[in-house]
Amino acid sequence: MTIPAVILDNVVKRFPLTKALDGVNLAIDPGKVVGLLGHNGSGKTTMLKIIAGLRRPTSGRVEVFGMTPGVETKKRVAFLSEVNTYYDWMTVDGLLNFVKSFHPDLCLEKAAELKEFMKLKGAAKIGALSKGQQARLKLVVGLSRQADLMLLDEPLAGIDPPSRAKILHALVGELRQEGQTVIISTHEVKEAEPIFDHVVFLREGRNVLEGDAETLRAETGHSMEELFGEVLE
Amino acid sequence: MQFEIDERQPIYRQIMDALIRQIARGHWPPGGKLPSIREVAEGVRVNPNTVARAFQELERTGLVETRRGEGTFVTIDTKVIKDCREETAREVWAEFLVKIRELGFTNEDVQRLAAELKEEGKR
Amino acid sequence: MSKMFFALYRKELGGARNIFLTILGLILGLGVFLLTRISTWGYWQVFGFTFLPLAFLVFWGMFRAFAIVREEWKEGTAPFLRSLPVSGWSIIGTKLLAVFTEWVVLVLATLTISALFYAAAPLWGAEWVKLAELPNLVERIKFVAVFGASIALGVLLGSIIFQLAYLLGRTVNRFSGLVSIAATIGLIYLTSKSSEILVRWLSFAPSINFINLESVDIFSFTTATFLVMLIEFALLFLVTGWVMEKRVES
Repeated sequence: MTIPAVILDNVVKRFPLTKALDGVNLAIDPGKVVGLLGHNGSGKTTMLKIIAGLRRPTSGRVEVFGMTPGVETKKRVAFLSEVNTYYDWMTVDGLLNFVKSFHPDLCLEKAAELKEFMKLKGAAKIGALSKGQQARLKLVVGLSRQADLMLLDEPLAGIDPPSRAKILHALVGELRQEGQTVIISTHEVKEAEPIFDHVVFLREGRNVLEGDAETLRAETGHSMEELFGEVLE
Repeated sequence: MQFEIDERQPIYRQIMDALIRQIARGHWPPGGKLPSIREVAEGVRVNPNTVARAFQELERTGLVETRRGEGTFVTIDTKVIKDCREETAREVWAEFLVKIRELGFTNEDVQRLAAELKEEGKR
Repeated sequence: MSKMFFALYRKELGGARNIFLTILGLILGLGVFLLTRISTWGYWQVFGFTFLPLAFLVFWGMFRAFAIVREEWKEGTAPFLRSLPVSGWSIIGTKLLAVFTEWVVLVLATLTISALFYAAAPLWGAEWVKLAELPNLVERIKFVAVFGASIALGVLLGSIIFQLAYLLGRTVNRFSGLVSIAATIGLIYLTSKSSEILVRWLSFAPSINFINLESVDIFSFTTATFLVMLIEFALLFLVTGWVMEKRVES
């Protein structure tokens, strides 16, 4: 039996005024492309941050490749935040070299290709990049690595609509490592729909519907976009 | 391979059906090599995992076989291809019958229509 | 491992470049300003003022240690930093080391300026003693070394207290600022209280005596103070690293 990439067992995350996660149970098999679908404030970011080891659950059990999130799991995980979290004063190449010191799996040749694809200059200061360029930059950083688990929080935010489909397909297609598990959070389901193996619908901190995308299509006769509307409205 | 997918139906089934039709009409000849999973995934713009699933299901029908490290090939057993073609044709026919009967057509009406359309086709 | 540590250390130095250069500029600027004041204020007066930045640097070092942690959250870079596969101790350790490096360089810059003023005293006709001719030179050097080391250790101790206090504030989702302030007061109280007790326990530790310094016949410095600060720093560092790794969120 293979160890699941991610296990969440009755995970609760309480904030002073809200419950971001309210008892999430989830097991994700390695190699899957998972869509974490929900509106803003449904707990998507909190869930990804808990998996990334940046936040701790109030209660419940979290396992990433069979381990509690920590230094060991961080070696195998790439977390790409929705907003820019990189140092403004670094250059694009400076950042890539910095990340490479921690993740030997980062391939500079691939990074060069990706920079070209994303139209980013290596000498550019991160603070001087536009929002859209910063959104592309994190994809360059994440995809240059061969992380076993990639966590993408709203990767389409800040990417212009014409490029979205292209980037999404590159993401799960030619750019993805063999066997890499990918979790993508989004509230824009239409564009991302065909790339998911597995979908998790999150509403008010609970996964209200979850399953294999194809099975859900066969069972309900609905697209994920339609289900998103039905389950989450 | 390129076609519009219907997101309301399982995508792997649609890919599988499309490949079966292509094999049936000889687009991929017996013993011929199918495009790779990556190529199909890029053409249809879906996740390679979905295409892999379509290939697996296709293999189960005996219509194709995967050789490790070489790719997926159409069977050289022409009988399997012929059977599959017949079977698919029957499915299409059955679907057609359901629809035409909804219009109140009897078997005689269908035969008459077929004959008339054949005449039209000749002209 | 050492590669990661070095990369973090370089990152901290790189991120602090602007503020470091600003302070260095201020110190040099003060030197130039003092140079123009010699004729009005008199040489010895001005020479005394060249040491002024040292007093400021003691506080600045501790403030920087606090700011270098806080910036990660203020600038929104904490999630990235904490997603790297490094321990909390590495993060805190490299930050302290970077601040300490800057601090030492700035102290040396200040002392260099003072030394240049001293060496140039005859230019202004000031009554001047050659260093080698100072009485009790060895005792004086020993005193400066011990005194300097204590100050440096004190700055490190203060630094880790401010860092820990800030991080403790970050462990709660509300009233972070209040918790940080309370933690600062609490930690200072705790360290000074435990210092008293520990110094008493370590009363067997030897003293360093300085003989015939200026007007004082014997000036005694107990190494217990030094040891206590070292122990407290080590303990606080362990706790701070742990909080950084396991308790804070980003």
